[in-house]
Amino acid sequence: MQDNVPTEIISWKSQLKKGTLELAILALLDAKVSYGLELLERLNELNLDVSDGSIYPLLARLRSEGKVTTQWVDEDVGHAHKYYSLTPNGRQFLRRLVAAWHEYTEAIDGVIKKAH
Amino acid sequence: MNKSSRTEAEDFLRRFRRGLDALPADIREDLVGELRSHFEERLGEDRLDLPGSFGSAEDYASRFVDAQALRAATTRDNPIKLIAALLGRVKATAFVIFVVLPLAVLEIIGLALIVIGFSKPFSNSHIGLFFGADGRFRALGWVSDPGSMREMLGYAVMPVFIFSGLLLFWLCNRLLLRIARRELALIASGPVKFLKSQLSKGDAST
Repeated sequence: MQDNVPTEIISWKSQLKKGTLELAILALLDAKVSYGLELLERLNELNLDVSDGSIYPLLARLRSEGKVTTQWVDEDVGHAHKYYSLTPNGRQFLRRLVAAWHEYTEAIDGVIKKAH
Repeated sequence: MNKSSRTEAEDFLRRFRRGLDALPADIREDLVGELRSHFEERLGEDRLDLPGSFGSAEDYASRFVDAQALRAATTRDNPIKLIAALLGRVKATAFVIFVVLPLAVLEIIGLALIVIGFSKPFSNSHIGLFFGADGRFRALGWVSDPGSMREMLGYAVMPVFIFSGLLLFWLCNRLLLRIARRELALIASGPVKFLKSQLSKGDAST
């Protein structure tokens, strides 16, 4: 039973990440217009361990939902990149997500404090 | 980490584009172009790991097709695209109805055969291979009212039922396991890398 604990924690963290990756991407895009690999590197610098393949389906969904918009930019050096930026709709959605996130984490923190 | 070559990247992109056939050409080429740009950059760093990060090209393409095809079809008012997108969604349901459910039913039949085989000593006259008075086959298994039917195999029916039940159960279970693993690989092609990295961190710290 004891041996199962780390795997359970990893699985729980993975579920948590699945639910919050959208918030993380929108927040990074709010700070800076970026292309896919650039976003990925920044997420992984923040220890979120996102795999290369998982970011593009999510970005495609955000784009089709009108939360982000894209623009191909030919770089002076190297190849073209598809840059993502927040739309006004995406920015408004991010504000609501951030508020909901704070509300939720405060509630969970309250539960933990009461339990100890 | 596996290192993928330029040839493998080109092959992946070719199969990825084919997997996106259901999408409008502009969306398809946009997605392929973006992935090509990503691969170019990773190849330059010698850090492209196609199987580890993207899984199979076909499965990866399917992650875009379902949602994108439905959205494109609903916004572009094209009835053919709408039907194609809806059929794509139905495919998953059809797979459950025509593959998963029959296998589950066969697995239950296998279990029933095992139970019937072991029940023979307790219900001798009701279990076996039954023929009618006219010599024609009537039933195999358990019958509530044997009446004038004759049971032909006696206790030899026990190993026949138990073995065939075990075989059927095992076969169906193997197939269902393969399907489940394939689905898991499809769903978790993203989180898997995260799980592996966390596990290796755990190993290193112990």
